Amino acid sequence: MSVVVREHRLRLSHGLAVAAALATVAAVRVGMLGLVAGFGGVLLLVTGLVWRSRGLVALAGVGLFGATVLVAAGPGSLVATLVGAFGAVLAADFGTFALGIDRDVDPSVATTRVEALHAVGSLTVALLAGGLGYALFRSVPRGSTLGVVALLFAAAVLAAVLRP
Amino acid sequence: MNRRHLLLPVGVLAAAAGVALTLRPGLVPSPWLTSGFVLGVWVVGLVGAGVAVLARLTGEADDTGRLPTAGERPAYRVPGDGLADRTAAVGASGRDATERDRIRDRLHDAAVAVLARREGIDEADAGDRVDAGDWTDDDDAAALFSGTGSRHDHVETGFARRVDAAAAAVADLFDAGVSVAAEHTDASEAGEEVPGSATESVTLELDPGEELLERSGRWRGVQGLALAVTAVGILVGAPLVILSGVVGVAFAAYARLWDAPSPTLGVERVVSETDPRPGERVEVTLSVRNRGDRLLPDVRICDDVPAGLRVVDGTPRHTTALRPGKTATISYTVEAVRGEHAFDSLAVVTRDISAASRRLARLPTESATVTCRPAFGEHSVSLGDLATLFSGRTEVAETGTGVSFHSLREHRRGDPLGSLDWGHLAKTGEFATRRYDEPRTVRVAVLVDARAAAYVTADDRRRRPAVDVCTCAAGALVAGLLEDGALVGLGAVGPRPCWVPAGNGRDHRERLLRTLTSHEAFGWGPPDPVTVDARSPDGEQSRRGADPTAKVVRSAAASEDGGVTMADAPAGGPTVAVSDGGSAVVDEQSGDTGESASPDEHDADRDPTETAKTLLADIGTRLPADAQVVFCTPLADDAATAVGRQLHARGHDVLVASPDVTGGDTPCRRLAGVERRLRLDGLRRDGVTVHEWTPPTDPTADAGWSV
Repeated sequence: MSVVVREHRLRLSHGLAVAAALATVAAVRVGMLGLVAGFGGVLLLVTGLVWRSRGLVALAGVGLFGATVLVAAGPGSLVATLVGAFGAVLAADFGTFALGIDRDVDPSVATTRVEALHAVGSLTVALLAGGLGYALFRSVPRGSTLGVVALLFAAAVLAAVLRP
Repeated sequence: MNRRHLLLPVGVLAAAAGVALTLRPGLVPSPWLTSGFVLGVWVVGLVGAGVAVLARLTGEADDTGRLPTAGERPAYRVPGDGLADRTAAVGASGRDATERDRIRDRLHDAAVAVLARREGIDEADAGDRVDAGDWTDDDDAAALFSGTGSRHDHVETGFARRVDAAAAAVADLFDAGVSVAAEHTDASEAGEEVPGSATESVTLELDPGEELLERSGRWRGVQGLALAVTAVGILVGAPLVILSGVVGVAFAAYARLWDAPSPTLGVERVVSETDPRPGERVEVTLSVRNRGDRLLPDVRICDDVPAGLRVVDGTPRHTTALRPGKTATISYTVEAVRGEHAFDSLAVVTRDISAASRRLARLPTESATVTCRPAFGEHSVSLGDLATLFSGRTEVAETGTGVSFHSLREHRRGDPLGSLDWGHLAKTGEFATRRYDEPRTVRVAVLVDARAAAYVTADDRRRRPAVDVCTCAAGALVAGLLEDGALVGLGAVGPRPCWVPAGNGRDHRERLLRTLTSHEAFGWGPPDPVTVDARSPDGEQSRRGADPTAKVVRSAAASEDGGVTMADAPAGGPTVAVSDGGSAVVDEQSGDTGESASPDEHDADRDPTETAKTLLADIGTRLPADAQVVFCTPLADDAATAVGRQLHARGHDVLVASPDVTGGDTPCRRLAGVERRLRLDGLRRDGVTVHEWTPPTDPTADAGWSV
């Protein structure tokens, strides 16, 4: 029986994924439950990257995001919530992108440029959306949570509808 | 009206409400209305989360949208692997009883034949012993055909184990009977370094010029996540949790901002050697330039390395980002093997910057062709007595007006006086007439088994198909027989038609060897149903076939060196043509390819005799009645045996040249080896001459036969 042997190569996206996950952990450190969930997410992420499992990496993202929600529901600050949430999504994004690259090209191929472009795109979205969220949260009058909910809901529906 | 049309006003209304409520928080004074709205969003959030989880669980497989692999030969099967797969797939329930009985019947037939051969008993007695279970000491093997293990129409457990045991027992019995240990050597077991490695195989099912845009699904569920978080935030009354939902919304929108760009690429390909020898290394340099005016943030390319060529250094796959006007260059090295290998397309996958969508394309490129013609060598075989009426150089069982003494016979009235043997008269006092040899010209058709069933290999790491071995053997035969003065023709038994009428001379030899080198019928990729079905009714060839625009020259033309090319096709039958390039094609009159399109020639349920008749329906009409036939085949199935028998029954002297392309490291592979040997025995019993040998597994080697 033949055995498939696949070499590993540490890529930029691997490092960025772990960095984003650690940023989430740093953001949720104020809550013990969130911290435990955050470290669990990091562990899952690293395991997923080593085992090349997209499912595990996606699960790690959900775990990190869950940690952020736990902290946001308790002692978390506005900045910590945004950093944690975006860090979780970016960790999963970078991680799955790295796995896709691993899957498609040999370890000998340098892919830093592609990975950097992807990372810049995702980081830009995170910064813009985070800034917008921050501004929205700070500027809206107290008690207008319903409006924010409606806006989020509208954005989600429109995003799904307006593109083919 | 579809779902989008329904959702659009919902989104617009929600946005308007959101803006209004943000600017005027007290706009909705009614508590029940507020609660209802919150409850609605909560329900939608939960549903969104459920949809997200469901989408992840039922999402597309990882293989979808992958860059194809290249640079490895097709994964040919080792004979017996099909049986192993069928056995592994069959279940224990009554529903699979029919399939189990088919497998059981195949093993039963082999066991009976081997036992009859070994014990020297007839098959009826052997069948009784097999049914009684006393043919082997292995209880599992015996139980497959006897006692509680015999035919079931209900649940039967342990079937795979018993099949393996029975296959091993049959092989052991056969090996003991012939006192020959398995000749197969596993290169990896012998410590020999085997080139190449087992890799996952991914294909891109697009023709050159086609492209496909699809969503990657990597952001699937992120909207559901946003809604779910919002719902949780409302439930626990935490504004920050609600705010975190903005993440999902942002990336959901990001994923839908752009589509993967359509690649406008200029491709240049340079090969270091266009006519290498087998085993020689050829460097391929590929330059891809972004000729469009948009940045390609993620472009992944894979050169379409022709089947048969193995990449031994570098990689044909690359990933990069390309600005307009920029060029990416890759190079890799392939090991040359027999064939005409055309590099004429490139697989490309582009993604948008978010990687949410991808565009898969196969781009046609300028063709760079590498033609590797092996030495082939010369190999002659002892032929039968069938000959033409033309004088020639081949000794046959005919007497006449030659110069070599053949024999004496009694003198008959009318015998010329000059033929009297006066010495015999002086010794015995009886008149006798001298007879002399009359060498004749022999016409030989060399047929190569090129069906899908012949694309098997003895070594699934080196991956040399039996068709390549047979083709190399045919090349050696062609050269050897032509050297002996025979008229030699060439044909392929399979769905990709190839026929070159018998002839001789230097030009004809070149034509035959060129056909064996470059014709698609002897290619490294097995035929598939598309190859046949895709042919238009007027016989248009498939893409990698012989050039349909090639100028067609009718046969019966004298070759330049004075050799004769003889028109063999009967009037009214499918017309044979030979292109200028020397590769044989069939013109528009030939509608029948001579074989059904199914590649599953291993299917034991098809009647081999009928299959053989179908296979020979076309090529059989081309064979002159006085032609001898050399059929090169691995005898991987009963249909090949039936072809040999059919040819023999039609009055041709048939020689079956069969390389042993079987493995020996699993029970089913060993069983397949035994079945092949039984086929050989059957042919010998029917009066067919059989030559067999064990060929080298190295694809750069020759046929390696010694008769």
